Amino acid sequence: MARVKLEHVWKKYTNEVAAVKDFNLDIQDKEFVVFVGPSGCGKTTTLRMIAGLEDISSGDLYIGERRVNDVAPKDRDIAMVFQNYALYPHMSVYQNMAFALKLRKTPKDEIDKRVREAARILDISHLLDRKPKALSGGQRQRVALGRAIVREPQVFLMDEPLSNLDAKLRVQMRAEIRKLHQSIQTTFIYVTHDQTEAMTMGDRIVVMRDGVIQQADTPQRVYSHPVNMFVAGFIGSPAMNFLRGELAEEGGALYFRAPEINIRLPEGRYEAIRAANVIGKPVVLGIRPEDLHNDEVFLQTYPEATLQTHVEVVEHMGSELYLHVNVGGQTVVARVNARFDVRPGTNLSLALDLNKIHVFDAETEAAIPHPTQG
Amino acid sequence: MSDWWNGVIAHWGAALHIPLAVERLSPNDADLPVGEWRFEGGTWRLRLDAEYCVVCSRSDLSDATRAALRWTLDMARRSSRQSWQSWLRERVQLRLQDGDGKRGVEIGFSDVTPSLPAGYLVWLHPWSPSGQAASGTHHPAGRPSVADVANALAAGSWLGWLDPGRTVPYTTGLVYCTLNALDTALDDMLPDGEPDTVSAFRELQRVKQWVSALLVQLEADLYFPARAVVGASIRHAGDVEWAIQSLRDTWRVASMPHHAERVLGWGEAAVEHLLLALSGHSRSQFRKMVELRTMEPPVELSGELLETLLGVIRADLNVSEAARLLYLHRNTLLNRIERIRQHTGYDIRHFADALALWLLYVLESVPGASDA
Ligand SMILES: Nc1ncnc2c1ncn2[C@@H]1O[C@H](COP(=O)(O)OP(=O)(O)O)[C@@H](O)[C@H]1O
Ligand SMILES: [Mg+2]
Repeated sequence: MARVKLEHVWKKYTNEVAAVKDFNLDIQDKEFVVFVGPSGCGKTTTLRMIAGLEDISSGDLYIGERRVNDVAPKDRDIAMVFQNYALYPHMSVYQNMAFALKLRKTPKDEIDKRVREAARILDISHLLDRKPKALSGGQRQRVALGRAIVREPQVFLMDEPLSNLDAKLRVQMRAEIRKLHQSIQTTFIYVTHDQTEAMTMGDRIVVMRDGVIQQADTPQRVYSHPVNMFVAGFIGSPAMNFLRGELAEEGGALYFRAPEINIRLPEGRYEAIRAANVIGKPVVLGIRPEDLHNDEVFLQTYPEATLQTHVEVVEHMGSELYLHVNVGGQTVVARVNARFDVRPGTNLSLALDLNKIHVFDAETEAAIPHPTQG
Repeated sequence: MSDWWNGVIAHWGAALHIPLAVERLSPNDADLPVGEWRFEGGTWRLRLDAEYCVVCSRSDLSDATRAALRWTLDMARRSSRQSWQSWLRERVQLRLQDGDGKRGVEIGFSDVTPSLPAGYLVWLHPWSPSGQAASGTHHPAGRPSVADVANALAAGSWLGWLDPGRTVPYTTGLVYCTLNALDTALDDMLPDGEPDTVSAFRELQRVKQWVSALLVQLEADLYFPARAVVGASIRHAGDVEWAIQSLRDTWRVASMPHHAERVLGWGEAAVEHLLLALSGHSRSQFRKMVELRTMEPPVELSGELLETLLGVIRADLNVSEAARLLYLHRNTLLNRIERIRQHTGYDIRHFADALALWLLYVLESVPGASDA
């Protein structure tokens, strides 16, 4: 019912600068979509166009089956929750939740029904008579959500709703919002600059940069098959390592070569690499910190994928170590089990999990597709 | 006995050196309408209400003085019956429509005001970042509830819609945020209320916090996007004149393209305020001086040049940071900077050069900057 579709949507603030460029996205009914990207990439602008608070410079926007470019926001059947969405201080929780409905002259018993139902879903029925002052941060946030729920919108729009909360509460509220989505079965569009939040919340995440969608896919796919270096570097913490080098062909095999690095690539990748026409050209090899291994079994299994490195810094992260190592002048971060005793200033062999490597065209920064990508 | 006239009469008497006294009505005054003058027995008498009149023993009280005093007393009578909210609303409306002209008849006005709670005037401008809010967003039909939202955030704060006339060509919302309402609102709204205000700057930040909350609620609850400016603080009625002026100045600054803030307070952009005060002559001289270095004037501050200039300034002249902000490769940015240097003679990596171009930009981006 509440599918949201953007077709070739542009937003130009001035003639020179476009904040959103040719945005195409088909959001399914009941889907939980997260827009994620660095500050200034156009997330808020896109959300505001969907809400109707901003004009669409060109392109088409559909909510449900209806083209809504020229439909006033109040008639779009959406509800918004923002970062600083405050509560009305002198009103009870009940009155706070009822307020927007009252403004629209919704009948009293209808308001009552909706408020009580929303309170039940959010588990705040026992707080309905309290004033905001008597609520904890988490309770306030739930009331804020309640104020949007009572409108029974077709689409929820949330712009960084948790960024004012402390870290612990934020983690808790992420789960609450997910749960909420499951219980009310409505389309959610959620904006955040925090990739962890995006990864943990979305059915699908839309990675944006500079007003352009880079990739729209499930969190797992975006993580395992980033389409370019930007997505690869933006998603994941610590960030993916990028090694600059060249692809060489020798005796029918393909090698990634850089100073002190010579890695034989797995044959499964050859076809795509040949098709991409990058042999003999500069490429970037991407490997996530957890896909570098220092245990013996791994080193023996992948002798042709081993880096001889020099350990510069060791960060203790509880059960893990983050090793900052140098190989041929390039820095690499590896995430290894804390049971290994690794000291700065020593040499260390690290094997790459060849199933997990990413190859990017150094010039276009585009990924050369993985065979599993289909 | 009501004494709404006391302030006016004391003030006028002292300012114009005329003897004014309040007396009980004499039987002869019975047919004198309230608010009218009559000359009788060598004195001028104006009826104040059912019981009293004001008497001036000078027979040569001029027509103009009598008219002005009558007008002022009339205002005082009306404001004595008005809530401070409606008094303030009228006051602002009058002042805005009057433009910069001073009304001679306003002597003593501050003495006839109801007591005004300390606070800040806030101007709400229906707005969207691009100036292109979707159709219907700003429709007047959406307006009535704005008062409900403002009053829900701070009781009694909403004054109404007003037409600022020449200042802006559309209807704006006017809110008076009293410090009392603000304190309770913010303490109740925010989980960890900040400690009490210690400075004017902190106080302004709190007002802005409240106004930001108001803007968010207006959008979320009414789909009404707006921007706001906050004027100079008002401690008593005498500050209102200046506060209105400060609202106007602040809006002029807020309308400059490089100000993207949703809420701007008076005094937050002191440099721009200073520049606004320059005469047209000083401005054109400034351009001439800046262009002395330029091979082919005029310097056009737009497009790529402007984007680069503002980006570099936003990054505190740090080229790498500016490249990041502008999504440019560092070398691309350096090329642009070099092109600007060749074109204008200014190397915007240097403070004085960047400043000169920025000042030129600000001076020329003020609406109506070229007149006067
Ligand atoms: N009023 C405006 N005028 C010009 N550019 C703007 C305006 N508002 C936002 N922008 C620009 O649009 C781009 C996207 O902004 P925004 O949607 O707020 O990004 P995000 O929410 O991802 O941080 C930014 O480059 C921002 O500077
Ligand atoms: Mg944003």
